[in-house]
Amino acid sequence: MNLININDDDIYLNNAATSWPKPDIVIKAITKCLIDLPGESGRSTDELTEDPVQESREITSKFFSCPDPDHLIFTSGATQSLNMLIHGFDAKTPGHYHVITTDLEHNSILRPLTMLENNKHISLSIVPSHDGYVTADEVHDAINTDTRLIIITHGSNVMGTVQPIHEIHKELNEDIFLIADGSQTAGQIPINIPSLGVDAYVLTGHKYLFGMPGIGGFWIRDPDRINPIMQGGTGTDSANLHQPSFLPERFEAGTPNYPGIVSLMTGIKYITDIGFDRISAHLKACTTAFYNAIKNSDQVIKYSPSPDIPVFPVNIKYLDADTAGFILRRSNGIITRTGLHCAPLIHKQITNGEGCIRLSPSVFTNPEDCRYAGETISDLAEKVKNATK
Amino acid sequence: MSETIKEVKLKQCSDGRIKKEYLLPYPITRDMISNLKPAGEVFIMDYLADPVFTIVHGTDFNVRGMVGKKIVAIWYTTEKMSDNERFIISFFESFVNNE
Repeated sequence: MNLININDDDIYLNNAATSWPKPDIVIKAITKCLIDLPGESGRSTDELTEDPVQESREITSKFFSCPDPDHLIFTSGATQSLNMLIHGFDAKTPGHYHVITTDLEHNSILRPLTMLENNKHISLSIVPSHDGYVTADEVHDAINTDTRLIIITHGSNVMGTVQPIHEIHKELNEDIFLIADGSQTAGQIPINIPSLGVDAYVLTGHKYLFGMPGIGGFWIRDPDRINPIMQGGTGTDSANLHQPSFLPERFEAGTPNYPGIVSLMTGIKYITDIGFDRISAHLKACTTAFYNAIKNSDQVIKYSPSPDIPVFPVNIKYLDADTAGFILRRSNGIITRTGLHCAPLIHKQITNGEGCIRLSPSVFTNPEDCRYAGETISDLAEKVKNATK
Repeated sequence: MSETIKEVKLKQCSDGRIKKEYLLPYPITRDMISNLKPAGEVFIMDYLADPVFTIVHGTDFNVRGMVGKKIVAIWYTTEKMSDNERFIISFFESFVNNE
C-alpha cells in the first residue's frame, strides 16, 4: 500500500487538527453509504438492509481491544464525548467534589470543567506538566478525600507527548473515575483501552482514524457511573418514556451518523491494513526529517524536540507565529496551524500565551516534505535574524 | 461589502480574533502599503524572496500580505471589527477608484 499519494503542490502539515487527505476507500465507503438504501437499524421495514452501525462498533472495539462492543458509544466527536462524560458524571455524583486535570488539556475538557467550577459543583486542581509530561506522582499528590474525577489527555495536541495513563491508574482507588482523551493518539500508536486502566476513553474519528468530521465516540467500563445527558429515540423499547438503561442505547439517542460511522470503520480498516509497525516507522521518519533540518538553528525555538507522536511546536525568534504561518503558507505552500491550538494553559507555560506554529504530519506525509518544512523554517529564521541585526 | 474587494475566507481564531482574507482586483504595491502607514505600524520583510508586509494597529487589527499579490489576510479584534473593516475596505477601494 502506497503511503504517499498527495498530488498537490501544497504540503499539508495540520493533521492534528484534522487529517487530510482521506484514504480513497473511506471516500468510496461514504459515497456508497449515501447511495445505498439506509441501514436504519430498528427504524425501517426494509429487512434487507445491513447494520453498518453494529459492524462499525465491533470493528472499532476490536481495534482498541475492547471486549464488549456495546460499551463503545458513537458520538459526534471527542468534544461531545467529553461533555457527555463530564456532565453525565456530574449529574450522577451527589454534592460538591474535587476534579483533577492537567495544563496540557484541550478546551473541550477545560471549558466544561470551568463551567462546573463556576457553578460551584466542583473544585478543580490543574497539575502542571514538565517538558510536556505530567508524572503519576504529581497527579497522585493532588488527590484528596473529595476527589472523584481525573481527566487527562493521552497525547498532547501541542507537545506531542504521551502521558503515563497506566501509571496514573495504578494507585487510584475505585471511587475515582479516570477519563483519558485519545483524540491525538488513536490511530497513531497501538492502544489497548482496557489495559490502560481507564474508566472511559475518548476518540475522535476525523484525525488519525481517517474518518470524516462529525464522528467519534467513547468507551466506558461501567455505564452506571455516568448519567445520560441526552434522551431520545433509539429504535428500541419505544413504549418506555425513560431512556433505556442498556447499552449502547443508554448514551445514543437520535438517528446515527451512518456515513460517519461507516467512514470510521473504513478508516480503521485502512490503518489495520498498513499496520502499526509501518505507521510507527513512517511517522518516526517524518519526525527525524523535520528535527534534523532545524536542529542546528538557534533561531528556531523547539518546544518539544523529542515528541512521542508527530506534533512539532516551534517558533521563530523575533517573528510572531501568525506572520510565520502566513509566510509558510503563502510563500512555500506549507499548511500549518498557528495560535493556541485550543490548549491555552500549556501555551501559557511554554509561549507565555503568545502561541506557536504547529506542524503535524500523518501517514500520508512524505518525510521529504517534513525535511523541506524544517529547512524552510530554519532559512526563514536565519533571514529574520540577519534582518534584525 | 465592497463589489470589488471580495471576502474569500473567514475564520474564528482560537484567541478570539476574526481572520478574514480578501481578494483585491489589483496586486498590492509598495506605494499602497506606504499610504497605510497612518493606520498602523508597517513592516515589509524585504529579505524574503516574496516580500511579506504586516500592518499592525495595536490589538485592533493586523494586516498581512505579500507585495505584488492580490490576497491580504486581516486579523480583527471582534469588538471593533465593523469599523475597522469598513476603514480598510474603503482604503483598498480608493485605489480602484483612482485607476
